[in-house]
Amino acid sequence: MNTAQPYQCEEVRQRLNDYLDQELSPQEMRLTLEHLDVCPDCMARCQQAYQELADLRAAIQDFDVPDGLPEELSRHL
Amino acid sequence: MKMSADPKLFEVYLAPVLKTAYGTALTLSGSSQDAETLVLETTLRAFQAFPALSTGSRFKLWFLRILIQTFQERNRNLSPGPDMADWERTTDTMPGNEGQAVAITTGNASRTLLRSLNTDQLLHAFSTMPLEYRTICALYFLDDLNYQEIAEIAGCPLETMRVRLHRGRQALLHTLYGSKTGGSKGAHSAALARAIGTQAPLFQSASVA
Repeated sequence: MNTAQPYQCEEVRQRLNDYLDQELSPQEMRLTLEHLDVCPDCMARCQQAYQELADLRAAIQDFDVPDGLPEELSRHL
Repeated sequence: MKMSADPKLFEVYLAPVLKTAYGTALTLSGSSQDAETLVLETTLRAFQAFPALSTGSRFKLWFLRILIQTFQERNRNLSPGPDMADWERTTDTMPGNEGQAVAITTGNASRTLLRSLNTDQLLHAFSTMPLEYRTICALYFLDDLNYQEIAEIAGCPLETMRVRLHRGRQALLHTLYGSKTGGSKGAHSAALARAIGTQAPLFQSASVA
């Protein structure tokens, strides 16, 4: 039987980066989600941090491969 | 079983990786011309080694690792970006290092600001980080790689990669948010500006959600 103590806000904040990247262990993920379900403040912080990373990822992924590069690579092979 | 030295087969493997490879090359080198050269050189190296690659291997990780190594070899005698020790000292006091992931914007500010950035602004923000941080952040944002994969490509221990990723992306957000909103120099801004040798204010004090 799992007797892990519920997380407090500080424990969730320390794991927030790993939570956003889905790199927590199954137990840590469960405890984090349980805390977010009952803590609006931590949930809001989490959602805002998630949104920032998502927006930054979208901006960075706008880099386009230059026209002609695939053909240029192909010519050299 | 090994791959065959067939250019068409190689191109089939390369096509889905090209965007990540070019984007990574662009953030490392800072210019589209240098990025294209780096991708071409990486492609030629990878093609030469392709027959030795097992069919079960992850082509993406293998190709990106060659790209990183090629860039490091070509720039062995250069120190692109700020000194890592200075930069890390400066960012030590930045909110959101290690695990906390403190949001620095509120409401829809991040969407409005970050999605209006142009390529030059993004590349400048990347250039303010040491090369090791730039590599890891580029791999993280450009593709859907997990921690282990990023660490493998970057050639560093998993925990080191994790720390650099968390610190690096917080620093990127601070830099970009400040560059769009202007504002007065905060303690972080002035210290980071000194660390990388620029007079320009880079970001204002973080606004924690």
